Amino acid sequence: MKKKPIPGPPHLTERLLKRFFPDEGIFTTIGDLEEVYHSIAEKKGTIKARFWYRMQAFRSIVSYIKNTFLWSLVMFKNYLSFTLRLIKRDKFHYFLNFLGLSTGIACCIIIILFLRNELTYDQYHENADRIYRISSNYITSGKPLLYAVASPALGPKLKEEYPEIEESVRIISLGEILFKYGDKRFYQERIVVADPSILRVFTYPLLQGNKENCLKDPNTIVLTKSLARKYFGDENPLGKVIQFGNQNDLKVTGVIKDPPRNSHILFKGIISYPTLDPNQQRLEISMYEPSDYTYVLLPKQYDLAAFYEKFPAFYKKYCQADEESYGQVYKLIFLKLKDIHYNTVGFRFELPLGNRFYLYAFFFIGIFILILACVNYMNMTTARSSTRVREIGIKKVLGSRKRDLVFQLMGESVLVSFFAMIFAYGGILLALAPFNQRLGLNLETGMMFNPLLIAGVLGLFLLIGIVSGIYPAFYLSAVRSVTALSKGFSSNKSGVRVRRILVTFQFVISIGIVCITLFMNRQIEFMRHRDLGFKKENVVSIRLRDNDVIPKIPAFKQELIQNPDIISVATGIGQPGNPTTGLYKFEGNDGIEDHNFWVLWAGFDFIQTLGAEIVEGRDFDPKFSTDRQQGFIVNETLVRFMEWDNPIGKHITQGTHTDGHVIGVVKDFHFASLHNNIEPMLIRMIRDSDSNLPGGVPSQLMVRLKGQSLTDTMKWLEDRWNNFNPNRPFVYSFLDESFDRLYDADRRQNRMVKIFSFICIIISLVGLLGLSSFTSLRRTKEVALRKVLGASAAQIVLIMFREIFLLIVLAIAVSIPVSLLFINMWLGKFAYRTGINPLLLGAAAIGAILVALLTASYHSIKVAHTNPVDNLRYE
Amino acid sequence: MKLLSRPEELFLLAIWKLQDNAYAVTIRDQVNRITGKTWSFGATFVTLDRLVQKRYLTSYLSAPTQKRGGRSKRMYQLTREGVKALLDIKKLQESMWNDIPRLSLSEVKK
Repeated sequence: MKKKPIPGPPHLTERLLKRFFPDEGIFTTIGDLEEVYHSIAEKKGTIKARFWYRMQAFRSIVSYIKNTFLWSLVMFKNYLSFTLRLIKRDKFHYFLNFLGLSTGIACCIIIILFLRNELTYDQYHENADRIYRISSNYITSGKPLLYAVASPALGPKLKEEYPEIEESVRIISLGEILFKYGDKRFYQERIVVADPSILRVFTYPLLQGNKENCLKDPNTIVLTKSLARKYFGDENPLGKVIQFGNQNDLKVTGVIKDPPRNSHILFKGIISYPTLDPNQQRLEISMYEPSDYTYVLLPKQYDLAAFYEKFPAFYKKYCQADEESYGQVYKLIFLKLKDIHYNTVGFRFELPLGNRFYLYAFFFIGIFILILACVNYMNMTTARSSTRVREIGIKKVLGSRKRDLVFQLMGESVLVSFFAMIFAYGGILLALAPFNQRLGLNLETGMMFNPLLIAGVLGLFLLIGIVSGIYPAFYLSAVRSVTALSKGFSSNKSGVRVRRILVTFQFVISIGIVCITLFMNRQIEFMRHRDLGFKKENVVSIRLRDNDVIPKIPAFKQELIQNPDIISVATGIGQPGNPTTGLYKFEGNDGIEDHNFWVLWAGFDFIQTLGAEIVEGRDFDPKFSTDRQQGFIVNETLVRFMEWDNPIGKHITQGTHTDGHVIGVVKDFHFASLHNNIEPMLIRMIRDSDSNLPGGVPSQLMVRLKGQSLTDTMKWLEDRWNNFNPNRPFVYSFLDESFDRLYDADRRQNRMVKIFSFICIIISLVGLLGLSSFTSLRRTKEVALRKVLGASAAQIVLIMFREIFLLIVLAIAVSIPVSLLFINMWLGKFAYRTGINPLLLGAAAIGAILVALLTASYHSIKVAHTNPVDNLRYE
Repeated sequence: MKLLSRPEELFLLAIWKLQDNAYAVTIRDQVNRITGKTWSFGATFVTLDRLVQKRYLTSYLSAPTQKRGGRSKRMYQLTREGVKALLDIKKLQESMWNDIPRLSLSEVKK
């Protein structure tokens, strides 16, 4: 009988065993196993033997892993208790450290939330990358004239001619209109008129109503959930009727979820387009009359070149005819939905936009704060190395490897930053609401639990832990155990230098941010107090917006004038800060020119009520019946633009103003925010006595008050108003307040920068406190000797101050030029700006020095007052 | 005087008995045979390691053999301390068994 050769033990298992139990390459144990394997194989067969062999390997590997884990857990527990003991022993430093780190992390998270919010503008729409807004460029006398809006005919006509365009939407922003429901009356803001396709193109999920036909019929409206609640409470809003204006009804046919607020189109209600235009007459409006925000939904991977190829035919059909009479060449501008919020094209009638500058600014501030916090940690940890060094020495003697020590020290910083992160998260959850309110932001706490964000924050915390732990870890673990345990150890020179550099760096950043904040403040104050060319104080502007009462206006004006507290009354469309534009023909020095300038519509006494000044010619005057048809008042900038030597009598014509001419020149005044230069503007007359007259409908009544007994006058005005127009609420605003509101965004940014700069200062002061405590500790013996030799406490404090003083001066020297660079960048977006005031820089510098010395004085004075005997006793 | 535990005693005796052929496999076989139980390799190695640590045993490597896939054996040998410990425990046990009344199951009352 031939004996079959027995196969060896399983290869893979053997390899695994070798891997886990290197046994110095001799493998006696594996040899033993193999021998037993063979004996089992002979007795019970190979299958059993192989099974046995595998089981042995499996069991040993499992218990090996279990053991390793168990021991590292024990070690971890050891590290943990070490850390906790350290924290207990040095509560003050760890508290500072922890505070700095958690504020740093909290700021970072808030900035991440802010940036996320800003960078995802309009991206929640499912079709976001296929939606384009079509804006208009009317090339006038060779110069581009850009409008964010387009003709109401454009969208539907494009869809007709280009079958590949899936949908088109027209949106008109109504500003505010009067809504009435039961006894509720509001000038409702943020209402738009839109085509039914708005619900198909954009992603506005309907909670109630039918997506296909809820905006099809005239006099229907779709509300957001919050607005529906405002008017109807808990009642079912569907089918309810809201009155708008004086007699029009709107039936609620749908309710949508409140859209996210990071969208450039913000609305609370959509009125169906047919309400405005039941007979589709707006389709006849010329391509040269832009008024509607027009969006199209293009097919996937659509090439705009294909669109432009067919455009000449479209142009010929719809635009060519009007090109002559308007004297403009029309061009379309496509803008991707997600690019709208940050476009810097400078369209007229643009919706409120974002500013990329602030994104960058906040991004850098976030990084700076993080760096500051990390630097603090490094500083604090290394500063206290003298107390740690003995521990490290002992550990090394007991056989800790360098790797273990690094691991332990890094682990410590990761642990501290982990707690800091938890703390920061909790803090934000509590503080986000007031923070939002104060800064006018709309960050949602819900966003904090976004898995992506949490992953990001976890990454951030690991990064902070590692970055701030890396220097102390390597620095401390590199200490030689003999040096560490010998008695006279003091940390080496290079450590001190690194620490000084770090603290100086912190001060560079915080002084820089403080400078920037100061200049932002100054610019905003400057804008608020600058002479605008008219007197914005004591002017009340009352909402009019009612065609029916126009005939009663002259009598009402007369009535108001009787009050001794009222100086003058005038009507107008818009107010400074909110003008319109128009295309007119001007008599230039070499023939007729077409220009589109800003237009302010005004009634009699407008100039006087505003407190502006006529420098040439005269104001509108009821004595001249032609003023209403033919009179124009222009500003000085327009005169300069046209290069008129003698502006009075120059011809300006458009439509009904066939024989218009300039009757007066008004001194330049700011009718827009100081972000913009004063541009050419003309003032023409409004319908302020008869609704059949040409001209715009007055939207407000401006009343200049003497400014005494303001509450009484306002009460009286309200009383008169209710008499005059009982259908409308008495809603008013003060002109100076509405002008101030133009700088809301700037002020908000300023406030945010202020908060962050404050945090920067705190963090770097904490850093300085750490440094000064360290240096004074290091110099206790020197100080003691000096005292013994007769130095006074004051002299010693001075010596301690000298070092810090030098650091701060260095920091100032570096940070001021850098911050000036930033300030200039920021100021660049204002047409009117303050200069750079060296006094302000000086104040910032002196402030920094004083605060720094004050912080350092705590430890310095403490050291200076110690009894030298205590410190020299052990020598 | 430190006393050996029973497994230690068993192992030391097994190794003494095996003389020049004492390595993990043979030792385990021997112990298995005496006790009638199956000792796992883990238990074997743990006990052997402990005995080495207590200096009752030393180990050396034998020449590699074909049977074990060309690997060496780790051979075990008793040290002086090991032998002394065995003698001690033997003496102790003998003196303990020496002057007791007759031990039998029939004497147990309950």
